[in-house]
Amino acid sequence: MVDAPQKDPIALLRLAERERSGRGKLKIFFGMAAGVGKTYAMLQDARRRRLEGLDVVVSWLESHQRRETEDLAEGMERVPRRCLEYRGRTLEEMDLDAVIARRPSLALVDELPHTNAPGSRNRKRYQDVLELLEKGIDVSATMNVQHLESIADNVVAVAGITVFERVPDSVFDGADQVVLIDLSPEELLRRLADGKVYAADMAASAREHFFKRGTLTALREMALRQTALLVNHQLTDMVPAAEEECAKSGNRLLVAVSPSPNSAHLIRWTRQRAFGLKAEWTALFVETGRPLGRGAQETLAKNINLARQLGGEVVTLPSDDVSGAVIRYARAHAVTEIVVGKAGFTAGTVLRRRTITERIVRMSGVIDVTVVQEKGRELKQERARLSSYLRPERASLLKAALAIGAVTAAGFLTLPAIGYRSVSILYLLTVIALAFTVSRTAVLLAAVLSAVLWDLLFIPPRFAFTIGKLEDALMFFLYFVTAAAMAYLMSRLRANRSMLEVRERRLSLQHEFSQEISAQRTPADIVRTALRHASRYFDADVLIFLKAEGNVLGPVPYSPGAAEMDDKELGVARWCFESGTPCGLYTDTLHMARHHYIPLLTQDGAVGVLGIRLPEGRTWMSDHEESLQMLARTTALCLERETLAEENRINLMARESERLGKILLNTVSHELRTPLTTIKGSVTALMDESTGGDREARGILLDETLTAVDRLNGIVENILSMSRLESGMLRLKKTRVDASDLASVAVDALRRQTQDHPFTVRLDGDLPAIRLDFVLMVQVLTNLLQNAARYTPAATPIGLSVERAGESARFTVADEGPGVADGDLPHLFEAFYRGRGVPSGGVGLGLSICKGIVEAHGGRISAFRNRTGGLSVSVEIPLEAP
Amino acid sequence: MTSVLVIDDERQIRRLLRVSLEKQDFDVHEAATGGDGIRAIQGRKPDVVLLDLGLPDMDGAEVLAGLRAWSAVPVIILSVRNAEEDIVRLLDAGADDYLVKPFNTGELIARMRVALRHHAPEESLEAFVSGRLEVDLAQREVRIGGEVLKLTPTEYAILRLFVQHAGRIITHGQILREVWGPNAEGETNYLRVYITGLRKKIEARPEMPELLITEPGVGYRLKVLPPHPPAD
Repeated sequence: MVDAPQKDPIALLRLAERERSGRGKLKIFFGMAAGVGKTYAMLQDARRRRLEGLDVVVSWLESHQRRETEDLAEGMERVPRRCLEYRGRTLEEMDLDAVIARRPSLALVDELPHTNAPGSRNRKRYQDVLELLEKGIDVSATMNVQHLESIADNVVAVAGITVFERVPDSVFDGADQVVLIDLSPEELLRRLADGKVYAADMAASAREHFFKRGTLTALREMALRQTALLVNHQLTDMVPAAEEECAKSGNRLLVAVSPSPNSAHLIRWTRQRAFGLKAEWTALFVETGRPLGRGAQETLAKNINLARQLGGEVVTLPSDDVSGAVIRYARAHAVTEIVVGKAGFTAGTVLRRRTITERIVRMSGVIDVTVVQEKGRELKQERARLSSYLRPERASLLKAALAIGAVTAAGFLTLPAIGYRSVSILYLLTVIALAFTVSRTAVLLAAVLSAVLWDLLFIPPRFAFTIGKLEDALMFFLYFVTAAAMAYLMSRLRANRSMLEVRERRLSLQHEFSQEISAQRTPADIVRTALRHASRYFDADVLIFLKAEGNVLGPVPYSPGAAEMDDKELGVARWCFESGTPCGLYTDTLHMARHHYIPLLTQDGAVGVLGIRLPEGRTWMSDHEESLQMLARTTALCLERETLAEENRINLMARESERLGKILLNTVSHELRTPLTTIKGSVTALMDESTGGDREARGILLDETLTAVDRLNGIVENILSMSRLESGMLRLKKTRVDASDLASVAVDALRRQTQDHPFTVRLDGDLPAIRLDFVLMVQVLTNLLQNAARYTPAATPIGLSVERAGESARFTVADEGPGVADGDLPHLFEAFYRGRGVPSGGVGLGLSICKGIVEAHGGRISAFRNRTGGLSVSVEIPLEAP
Repeated sequence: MTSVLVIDDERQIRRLLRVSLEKQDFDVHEAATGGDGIRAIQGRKPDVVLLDLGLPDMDGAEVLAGLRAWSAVPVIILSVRNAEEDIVRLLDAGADDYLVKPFNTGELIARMRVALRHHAPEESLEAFVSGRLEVDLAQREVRIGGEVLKLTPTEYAILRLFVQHAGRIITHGQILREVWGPNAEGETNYLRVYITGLRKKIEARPEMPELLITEPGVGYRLKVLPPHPPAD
């Protein structure tokens, strides 16, 4: 598993410089210790620029009551400090939001490494500064060399002080300008004596601890060196792009991460070296499947985070052979240098402690191996931690010892029966059995112990370590080898298998999740599936917010249980949504929140936020973060897909509407023209004296005109009905109607049109009255009858029958005409559908209108080929309508 | 000569009607708005009024209400389809009959004549004949094809109402009010049952009535057919 580098501020800051993306510029005033004059220099610089017309604002100033500093700051605009209540005390912090709102061109931020009080959005001030830069505000800041993350160890070694307030190297390296405020130690000490650095009482203690000449000299050297390194770096950065590739070395470093605190030192060391070489570096964690105690877990998490923060690539590999895995990875990824600790990489048992480094060295081949001395103090701590390792082991060891003891006793009992040689079989069986249940150390111990006991207690001469016969000695040797080998192999097998099982379970859960969530079709279902899986997988409280109207986060989250949500939590979730970065618990931003929040990100930004909170007593590990990211990614993708699908549907509908609209326009204009042509033609013909005078001609033309008028009227009625149906304005006025009444009215209305066809009406006698809209149903029947008349040759019969069909009344209009092709039957009721080869004369709306009206009544309409080959259309209306 | 007032805002329709009606010996007057129409009724005192409902200045109902306050002149409404509710309302408010556009001019003139006949004070109580139906209101006798028909009192009451309004539309509400009283309005079910029963008795083919015609959404009309020779 490869972990993508965290949003590395280096890259971002560098990018800003090259591409002028509008990001603010960072200028760091850098010094070796307090009192060298960094703040002073920063203020001087700011004043000068202010006189040039720049809009400068003091965001945070720590004057330490030094007169000169305060004098310099006079007259400059200050953003008021923010007061926070914490545990009954009032703390002051920089008001980040006020500065952002103020939008100065340059903001002065003193004391970059400061840790913000709880309740602030970001944990560290340097994060505040990064925000300011992102908003396009330039920042001038101050810090000391001891605050640099990668130097921390050196400072401890030199000054004997552990520094807790640190700034990641990435921030320092990414600064646009670093100004070194250099002062000789003598000069600084003189200042201290003059009271210009600290007030009298503090000065005394400062001199005691920090302000010793040796310390100061060392710090000065470190500051100078760091600045030189940076300058060198920036120098090569200014080389044009093509050459820059060559300037970058082909080096690649690898350091192994372990749960030991020593790892942190190695990581920092590697980082410094990589920076110096301008090389990429990787931190590799080999997951052996061995269980870790709580303390070890936390240290491991911290180490991995550190590696990430310092800009290294973090990789996790499963393997029970640490050194082998390291070498394999190094070879596969063209690593040029492996960094190891001298004392060895303590992830293995006590036995292996010293061998891992040696094994790596031995197997390294062409790859350089750098062995770094570990800190003595930390070694002691490490030994103490070993016990936290061994804790899960203790139970196993006990079990193994007891088992061997029991078998020994059994051996004594059965010795007369089976003989001393066969006792070895008992022992062997026990060792094999143990291999299934206890840890590797324990089973190896059992193997050794059993061999020893067997020799001591059973092989003659008994109760002595010596072995009498040669064949016994050989047997003993064989036993020992077999037992040890068996024990080792079996336990290794078991470890492998359990590790694979864990992985397999994880993978199959993920696969299951992917499949299930892909099958969901609505956002609610997607979210619920995600929640279900997340709760199960993490065994924790999970909740999901979704984007709502107006591109804001909806206020109510989906959650399997009742999630506690208040305005503050909602605010945190909203911030996560807007910024698109994880925040809340387990992070450095807004870490006082009750949940850990990550955004559900898509190409176009966040579509939601996922919140999680592990139950008490569990640590948040890096692979939790990875799994959560994967879950979030998948969920976001599914949500995006659904949104797109919905848009697609809407587009499709819009296009379909447009299409229908066009067809309507075309069809209607065509169909209307036909009767209009007849009317105009006939009427103008009649205007002619001779035609108009001829009785027969007149009769025919007038008849045609009237027919055309009726047709026109029919089309207009149909269009009106269609639009009423479409717009939902169709209101049914239901009354109880006799089927015969309905039929007779319809028939009567079409007397003229159906006169060419023999017409039969069949009514079921015992049909009760039906609740329906009389006028609309008449329209349905007239449409059907009209169709029958229009599309069948003259003299072919048309029949209307009304009968009872279960709980409905069925009206059927049947003709004996050419009927409708089977292919056309299912489409008959579609709007504007005209079958192939159908004579023109209608708009194709009639049947779809019938369908609309019939379905509004809760009924059904269907068309089929009848016995005579003609078309029958059947309408069923429920008798007892609701 | 009978005079008719055409109130319609469409010039073509007025022109068409003028030509047709004058050919039928009517004296035709025109008005294009509701206001003009009312003034014309006051001034010219026509014998029958054709009132279009789609007038620009006034609602047809307003015009009718306006003139019904002081005139009983027969009014025939011209309306568009699917306006049954309006038609019923107007009929109940005093209109005599209606016709849906586009209309059959022959039908229009027929209805005008029916309306005029019913308005005429000489209400002859001689036997009413339509097709095979003969009704003698004075004798309270109903015959079909010469044979006497037994009707229930309610059936007779309905039939009598129809005869009194022969040729004219009667709304459901009107029938219910007249036959059952003002509280019965809305009980169209009752009516339907009785009508069906009546049809069974007086129609040659009850399922295809020729005398008692349903006008969907509005009411019923008893048609006046030429007398049918008794021996079929």
